[in-house]
Amino acid sequence: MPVVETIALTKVFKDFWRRDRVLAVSDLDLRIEPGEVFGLLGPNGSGKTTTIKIILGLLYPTRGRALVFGRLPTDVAVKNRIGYLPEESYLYRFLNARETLDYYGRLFQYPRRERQRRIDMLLDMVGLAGVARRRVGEYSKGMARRIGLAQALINDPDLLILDEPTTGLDPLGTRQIKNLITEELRRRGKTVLLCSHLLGDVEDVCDRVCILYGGRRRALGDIHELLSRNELTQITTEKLSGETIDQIRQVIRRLEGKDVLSVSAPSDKLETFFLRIVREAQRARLDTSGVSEGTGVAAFLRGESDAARGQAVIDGLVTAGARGAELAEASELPESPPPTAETSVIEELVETRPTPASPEDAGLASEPQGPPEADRRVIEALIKPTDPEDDRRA
Amino acid sequence: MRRTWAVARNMVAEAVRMKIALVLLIVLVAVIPIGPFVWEGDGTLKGRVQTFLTYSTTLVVVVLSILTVFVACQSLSKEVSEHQIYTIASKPLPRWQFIFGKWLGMCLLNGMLLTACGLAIYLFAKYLDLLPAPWLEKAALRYEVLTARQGVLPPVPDFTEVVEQRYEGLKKSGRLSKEEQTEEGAKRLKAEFHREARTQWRTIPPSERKTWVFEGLRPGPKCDYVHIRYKMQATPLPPRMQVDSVWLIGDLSEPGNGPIPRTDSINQWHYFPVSSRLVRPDGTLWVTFVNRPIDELNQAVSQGQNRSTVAFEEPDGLEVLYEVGSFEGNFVRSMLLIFAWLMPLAALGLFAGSFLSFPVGSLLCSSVLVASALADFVRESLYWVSERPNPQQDPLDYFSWMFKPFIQAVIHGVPQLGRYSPIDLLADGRVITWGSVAAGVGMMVLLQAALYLVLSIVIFSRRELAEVTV
Repeated sequence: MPVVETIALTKVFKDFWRRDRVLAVSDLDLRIEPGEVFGLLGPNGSGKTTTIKIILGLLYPTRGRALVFGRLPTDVAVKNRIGYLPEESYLYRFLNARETLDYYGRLFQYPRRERQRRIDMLLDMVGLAGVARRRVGEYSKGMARRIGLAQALINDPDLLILDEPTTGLDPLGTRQIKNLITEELRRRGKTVLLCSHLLGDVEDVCDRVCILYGGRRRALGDIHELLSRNELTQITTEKLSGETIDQIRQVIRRLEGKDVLSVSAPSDKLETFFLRIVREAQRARLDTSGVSEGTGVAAFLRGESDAARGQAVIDGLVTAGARGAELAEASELPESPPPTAETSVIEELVETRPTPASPEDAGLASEPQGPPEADRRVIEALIKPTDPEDDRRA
Repeated sequence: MRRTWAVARNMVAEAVRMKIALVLLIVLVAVIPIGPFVWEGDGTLKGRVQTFLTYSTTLVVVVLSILTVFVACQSLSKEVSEHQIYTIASKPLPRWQFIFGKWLGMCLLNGMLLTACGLAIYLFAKYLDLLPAPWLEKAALRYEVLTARQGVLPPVPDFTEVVEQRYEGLKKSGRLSKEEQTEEGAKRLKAEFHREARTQWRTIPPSERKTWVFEGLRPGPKCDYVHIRYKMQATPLPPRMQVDSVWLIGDLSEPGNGPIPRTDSINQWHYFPVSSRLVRPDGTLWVTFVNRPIDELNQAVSQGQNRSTVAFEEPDGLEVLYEVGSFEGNFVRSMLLIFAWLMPLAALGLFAGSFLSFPVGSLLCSSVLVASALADFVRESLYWVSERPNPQQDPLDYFSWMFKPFIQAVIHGVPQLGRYSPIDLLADGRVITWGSVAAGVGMMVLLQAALYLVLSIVIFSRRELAEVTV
């Protein structure tokens, strides 16, 4: 059973006199399967958000229908399994971050202890634990966006609907959302419906995409199939000398009768560079009234139970203890004073990153070293929402 | 219920943190203590406390009424206009629970504000009671204001037969006009005869006496006195606008019980206490009014010089009052009635907010509040609207007839505190019974608030919560 299905979905907005004014969505057929990360693309006013609002039951279709988990969107029970981040974080300005999440947690009827557990983890995850008592009305747009994301995740949803999720977010937050989708949600078989016109974001995370224009579906399919350029071949090696490159050119010309179109040395991505600078500042514990470093994906979103987390802590302590013992054995070395078991455990706890290891945590080398186009996408994400180049590629 | 409670808590947090409620509460709590020194009433201690109770509770009702409808309307319409509803509606919260939670939150807020204001009013009333004053003024305050008294009116005889006989007599003698013989004309004429009969029943010509038997009095063991309360009119106007009279209360053979001479101004309320022992065991009390001055020498009722006919005002110009409870109990019940009044207003605000923007919703709420304030007046006016319009006689007659059912429906639909208002009763030291509280709650909460809530829920559940964004 598809998680989301729309059948000939049509939405016509009418004016005061009930005359048809705008055809927002027209005969849209979609099937989003479980475990899929599905991208809904299109220029402004193409019907993306309207489609999402129909899927959420905020708007009613003029014709056709939408089903979520096989039920109508107005079915309240369905909403237990949905998380939704709107295009802007519409929050209660008078509540602080903790109260905001507590309110949404109460709507899912979680017991107090469970609610607090999830709130703590989510605040850590989105890097707002340090400012959790500040009113949301005082937050920057990016910080509000993070709380918006946290509220969407509080129920560990089976279907996560993200409408322009990276709008207003810094690259750190953008990367965090991407990691969340590509690593945790996908691994756990969650379904994500991502609506964005930041094509780089969509390309990075989506399995399939649908492109809308004028409320109609213009393209639908696997993103790699849609984007693959079979007429080109790219070879990536370690740095070559000019002489070797010349020889390769000659070999290709001789064997294939084709020219090498370009040879260049890939530069570091601006996103990677930015993340490294921020991480260094965080390690130096420089003061900030904004977001702090997130602690990685919340345990409940990784599908870990309390028992599993407890075991992980014990394992960590055992490992640290063993390492302490090894260090004790090496105490004959004159350079370092003999560490006690306790201090080595503390060092271990301080140095060991809590958990899996987002790509940044695991080391910046794990960032995808894409071709120059990939670099540009990151820059676009940082500077402006869309780029004609990306539109052409889409 | 947990979800509803979450919405209610959020509603209270919103009202408190947005400082609307706080500002109003500060204003109220600041004004209430000033009241006793500004509102002096008739200058007596009793008058001052009565005026204070009347004005301060009225002020609280007005301010909380306005606060309730506007905060409720704003809270709901703002969630839609500022799109917080997007995230709420995508959570497993049925829309009816959302509306009900908002209403519950508004009731909670009102409960808190009313408790604070009520406490301030009560404490200041008690403070005034402690101020030094002559013994008589203290007693008047104690027995006429800071108490809970039951009022008993003399049973009005059934005048139907008398009226019919009079009408038939006129008809037989051919002294009725054509119009007076029509159904409508006869109805008006008989109503007039009824009024005359009732007035005559309350009228005492000069030098005459009249006795009324009050029934159903149940003064408790702690009740030492019953009070006779009355207001007279006189024609022709007496000298100095005062009437000399004699009252005979209960069994005059009782030791210590004798004629009570009085000299009272007309058109003013008067009270005097008599011993509760004069009430018979069957709960009746005989009250006789003699329209003559007393001969002070022989303590007998003498022929006097009164030349004015005296009439007690309709409908409660002559009444017996006796204590049945404490001021505290009465005060709590009056606050409960005010609280019940605020409940349909909260539902009204939500009803307006469920489909209107805040400015338009406010306009609707204001109109309903005005209609509510005028309900009693309009209801009385409708009595005179003819059931058979005669456009030739009055061109507007037809319009009045046409709109009468609509206006009646509106008047029935608007919240009505007037009918259940505890303010006058409280200031007058009259008991607000649990029965009247139950009736008020039944009408205002179970009917009117429920009606508005159901309408809000139906509208809100059916409407689209998002707007055009293409």
